[in-house]
Amino acid sequence: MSVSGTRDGTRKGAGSGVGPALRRFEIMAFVVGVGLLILCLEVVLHYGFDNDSLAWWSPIHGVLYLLYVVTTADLGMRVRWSLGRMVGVMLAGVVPFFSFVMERKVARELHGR
Amino acid sequence: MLRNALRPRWLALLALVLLVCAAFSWMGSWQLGVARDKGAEQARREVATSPRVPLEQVLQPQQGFPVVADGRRVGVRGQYDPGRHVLVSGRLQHGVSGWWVVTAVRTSAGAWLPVVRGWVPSPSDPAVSADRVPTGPVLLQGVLQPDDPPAEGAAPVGSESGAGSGSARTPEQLRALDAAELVNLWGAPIYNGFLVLTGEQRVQQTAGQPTGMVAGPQRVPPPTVQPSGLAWRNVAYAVQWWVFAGFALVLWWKMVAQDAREREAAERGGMDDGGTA
Repeated sequence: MSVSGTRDGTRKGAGSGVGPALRRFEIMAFVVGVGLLILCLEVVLHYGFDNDSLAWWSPIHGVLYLLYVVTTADLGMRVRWSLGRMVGVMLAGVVPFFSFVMERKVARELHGR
Repeated sequence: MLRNALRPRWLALLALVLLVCAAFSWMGSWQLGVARDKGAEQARREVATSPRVPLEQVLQPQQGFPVVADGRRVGVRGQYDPGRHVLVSGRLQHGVSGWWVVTAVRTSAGAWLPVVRGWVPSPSDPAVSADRVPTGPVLLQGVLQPDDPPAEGAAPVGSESGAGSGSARTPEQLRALDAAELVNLWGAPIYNGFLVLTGEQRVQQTAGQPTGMVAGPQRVPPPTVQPSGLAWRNVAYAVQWWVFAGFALVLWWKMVAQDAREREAAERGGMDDGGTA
């Protein structure tokens, strides 16, 4: 997930500030990916073992996911994603492990790496 | 920009966004409802497990009924007055409509405390009888409740006996348990609120009295408290749903604005790259 960007990985017609926006997106995609795994553990503990010791995590994860959605929208608008693409990337954040995949995909695409 | 927002394409998207907002708001309200239910459940558990306190610590005669007294388990020492004895109609017990048997207890503060001693399916039930009221000083345990709201047309349902007459066979029947009404029957001072009895003991056994308590009417289960607390986690979920709904709207507006800027730039015949800086 490293951004090797001194150059803004801009392609045709993309707006300014794509580099920092991509970096914010990558950080949030990683955070939400890890957070989602914690959330899965919470759900297993709650329903499988009647254990609520991780219950405090869910509302925090909600806030983190909101930040992920905001950074996704920010990046998506800068690089002219279609609405469908934007929503697709946002929803990738609710599928365990998929946000990692999506983050790599987006970074590769925008960096041309 | 507003003109741009009114283009069919953006209006259609707005309709979609509003649908999403409605769904999210609904989810938010649902979580708020869950929060209320959980909060009430927590409050109930807290009250049920909070230690019993002497009545005078939470409630004084002739004073307003404080929130902290609602559902509070208290102990009180006093003496029943079999002459101050009413029935309150329209009370459900396990789904059956009946009457509450309410008898005044004179507390050490010298005031009347209405005590719900139990429930009867009919006003002529033998358990209503005044001779089933324990005599002498008693220790009572129970749960405090605020007065009922005054009943419409709060006149007594039936008054076959004179108020407060000690030999009352059929006690006064009321629609609501309300100190403002009881004070007319029993006199002052009186407590606002009442006690739902959960236990009673005689203070001392004298030789002439039977050792056991007389069988009173069937006890009323301790009531549940009014919802007061909220479960903060579900409140957080509710807020998050609403924030997401708001964000969907913001995103729509941002997209309209970006589109408008690009159109303007294109119309000006400038660079086809909108620039958006």
